[in-house]
Amino acid sequence: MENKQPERKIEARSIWKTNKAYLFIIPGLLVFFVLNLYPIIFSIYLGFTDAYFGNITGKYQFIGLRNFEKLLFSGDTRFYYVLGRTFLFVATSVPLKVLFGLALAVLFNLQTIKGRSVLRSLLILPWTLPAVLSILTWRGLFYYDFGAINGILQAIGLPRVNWLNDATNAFVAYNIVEVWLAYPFMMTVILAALQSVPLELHDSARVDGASAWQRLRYITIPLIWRPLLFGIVLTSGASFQAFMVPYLLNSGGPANQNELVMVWGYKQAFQNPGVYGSMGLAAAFFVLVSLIILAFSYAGLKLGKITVE
Amino acid sequence: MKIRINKKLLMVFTTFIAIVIVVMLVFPIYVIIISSFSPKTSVFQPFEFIPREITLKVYNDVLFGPMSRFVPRLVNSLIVSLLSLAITLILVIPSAYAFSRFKFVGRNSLLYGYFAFNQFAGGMGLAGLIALYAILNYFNLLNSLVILALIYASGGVPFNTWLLKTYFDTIPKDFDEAALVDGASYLDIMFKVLLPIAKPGIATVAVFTFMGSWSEFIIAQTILLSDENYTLPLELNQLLASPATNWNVFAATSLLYAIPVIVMYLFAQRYLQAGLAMGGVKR
Repeated sequence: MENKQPERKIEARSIWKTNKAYLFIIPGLLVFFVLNLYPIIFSIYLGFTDAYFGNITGKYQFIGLRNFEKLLFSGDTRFYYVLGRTFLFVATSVPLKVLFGLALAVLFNLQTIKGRSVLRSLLILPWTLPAVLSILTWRGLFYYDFGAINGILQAIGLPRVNWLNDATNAFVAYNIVEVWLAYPFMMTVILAALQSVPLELHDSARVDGASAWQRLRYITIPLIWRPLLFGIVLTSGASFQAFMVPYLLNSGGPANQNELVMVWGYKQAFQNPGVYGSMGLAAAFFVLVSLIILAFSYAGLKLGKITVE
Repeated sequence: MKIRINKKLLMVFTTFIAIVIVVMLVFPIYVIIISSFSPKTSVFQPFEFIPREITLKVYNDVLFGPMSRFVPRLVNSLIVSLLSLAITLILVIPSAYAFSRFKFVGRNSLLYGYFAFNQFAGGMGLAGLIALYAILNYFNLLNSLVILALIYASGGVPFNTWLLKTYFDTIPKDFDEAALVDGASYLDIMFKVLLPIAKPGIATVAVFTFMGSWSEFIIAQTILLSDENYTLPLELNQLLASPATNWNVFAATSLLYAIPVIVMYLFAQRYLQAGLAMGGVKR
């Protein structure tokens, strides 16, 4: 990361040792501290208070661990339900994203496809669009009455599906959209790895009579495992923290049944102003969620190293 | 002979499969384009896959209609995105310059702090928003486009500083030293020596910042309280919020909203490629 050589050069010349450096750094640091770092620290503190919409301007009280107790040990905050739903989403969307990305990468790496580069650049299109636009477009496609997906289903003689007003169907819809948003990234990562696999390996294996599946299983996958794992770790984090997809499709609905952690926390803080302690409770919730994320990203990094070496 | 025939068949077959998959995956984009050119106005009419009639009526309404909210929201989005871009450059260029060139107490810890923040920010981002809301509320600064731009710029400080510092590191220090010998100040070096060479790096930061601000939804949704301050992402969400909303208006607004992103993407690609021809610098 750090460039060692210029570093030594700097040390050798005292002209670069100057306190004027702080003048260059402080403006950025100050703005960053005031608007990013301090709010995060302050939010952790809010997790130990009874802050809500009505008293957020300063009259909230320190209440110790009450928010955490409420989240972890009382049934009424739905903490475990929301967490469970989120893990279910990770467990479904991550394998789908990986398998779909892998399948597309393998397919679009085939030498026999004409016009591969044109098709590939078309495939990357979802990547260039802002997520808000893509997700809202999908919401339109999923509409019961005039949505294009039900239009297709009807055209081929299948019944219309109530996509966004049914808990299970909405969950399926989240997965579809999540996969659609993520496949360009997964495909690109895996494709880059695939292209580093020497063709001779495949040729000699084919001569030895290995089937396409055996070649994928015993040559390709071991060689692309590392970048694949990198993609899996990143995309798992993204799934766990999914906000835009559930929030924009149907706000974690119907009837809050598909609230994932980020959606629950956001709604708790900003959309239920009447509820006692909602901002403090949401802050405490985010502290717990951040600890879970930290634990998993640590485990992910460890796992990555252990499996590769 | 047999193998050759199979190969041709394989080519036709795999290409066919590939085209079918591409068509299926870009289908949502196709729908949005078709809808924006469709003359239909009612939500409840079924969607047409191949439009019988193509018209620019919706675009005309969105851009010039008396009831259109597009232009004011576009102005809001442009204010926020361009302002956050300007603030980012003002904050990040000097920081990156100092991290790349100067030796000072706390340099490494600050750099690693920025790096660690990039890794960890995701989880606590929404949490920070709660306190940020409280702070802005306390100082009566909610619902301000300028504050929103400042928040966007500040969130990008760690990442953009790293990015630009890495770019500055690739510029030989001989350039600075020659200028120093000629009596230039550190500011002179930054503006007259480094900035002209680092244009591609700065363009990268600018593109990331503009695109990030242009498409951000959550913070804007939380901070901006009144309709007239809404940026385009919020307007898009609002268009789909009520069932009476016109899907075609949403489609046309979406595509108009996507144009700057696509233009920037193309522009950035060309610029970055120009930047890669850095051989001239090294000689």
